[in-house]
Amino acid sequence: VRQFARLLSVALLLALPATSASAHKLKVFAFAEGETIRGLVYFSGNGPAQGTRIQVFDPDGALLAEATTDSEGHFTIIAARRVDHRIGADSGDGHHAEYVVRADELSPALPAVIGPSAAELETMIERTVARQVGPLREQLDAFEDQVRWHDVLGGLGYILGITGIACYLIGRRNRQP
Amino acid sequence: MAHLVDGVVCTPVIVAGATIAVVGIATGLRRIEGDRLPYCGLMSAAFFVASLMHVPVGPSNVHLILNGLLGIVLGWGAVPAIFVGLLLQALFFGYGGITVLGVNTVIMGLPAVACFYLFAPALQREGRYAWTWGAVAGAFAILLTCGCVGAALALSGREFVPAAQLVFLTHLPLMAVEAVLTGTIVVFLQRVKPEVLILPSQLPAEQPGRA
Repeated sequence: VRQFARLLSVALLLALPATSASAHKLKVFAFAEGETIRGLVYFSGNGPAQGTRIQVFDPDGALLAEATTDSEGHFTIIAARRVDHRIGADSGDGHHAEYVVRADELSPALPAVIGPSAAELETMIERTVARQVGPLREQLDAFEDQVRWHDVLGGLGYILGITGIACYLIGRRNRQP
Repeated sequence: MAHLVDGVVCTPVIVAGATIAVVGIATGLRRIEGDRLPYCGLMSAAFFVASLMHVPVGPSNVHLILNGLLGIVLGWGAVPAIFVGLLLQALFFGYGGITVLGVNTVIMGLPAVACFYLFAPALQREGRYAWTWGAVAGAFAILLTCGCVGAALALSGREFVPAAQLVFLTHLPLMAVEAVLTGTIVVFLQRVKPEVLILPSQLPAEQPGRA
């Protein structure tokens, strides 16, 4: 008798959560409307679940959005990417439900992967190019400022030439009279 | 910088500088004797290269001018020599502007000629004190150059006066360097090649008259 009682209590313990869960099982339903995901959270047979926290994850498990259901259990999320949206609803008292809005339900206009915007991309490229070109420009500047040896030699050559021409002119003037 | 750049001095100063420079160059060319012409070229080359010898002075840095030496050796011939040197410095190194070439020629040529009249006769007479006279000439030429820079700047507008004072201050160490250098070069020339320093037709003491 004692053994039976123990088995019964175990069975009851096991059955209790199951019955309570099925009694008001939390359920999520959502559908995509272009870029908007509308959804409803409700307890099966018990009406809408208001104030339920909604967390949306992408297939990699990264959090995409968070929302809270309104008084009628509705929630709205704006999708930014065309990927599967795994919507999790948590009523905070141990009830949890999930629903997946598949990528192909969402607007094809959405990008699958969010990259940097055009402006951000431009600044990134500019920064990289500037970083790589900067030292070069410095070198070039220093190089231009440098007095180069061929300039010095060229100048000396000019002086020599001018002196030579002057010598020639004076020599010719002295010879004439 | 003793080399003024374009746009620092006003137009009247540029015109006046160019006029004086032309007169100076003409005088110099007329007074150069045929056999002294190589010295003129040599000194011009020395002047040209001296501008590459930088002497750091605090935040600024100045370079050798050697116009005292040029004056002692060449007399009026220093003016065309300096002009050629300045022209090539402006073209090759970007030292000093092209439009202010005349002004720069006066700024450096005038002290050279002054040194010639003030110190060359003494140098001939008192050969034993060659180093001293050379040093005095070297320092005096820089002093006068600073004065000319200051005058050119002051004539172009009052706000340049502090700049002229700064030029003078930064050139004080240069005066010392040029004094030592000019004195040493003069002594060296006197020992090795004294005829470089002798200026037959231009010394007031002897006027042999030109052929």
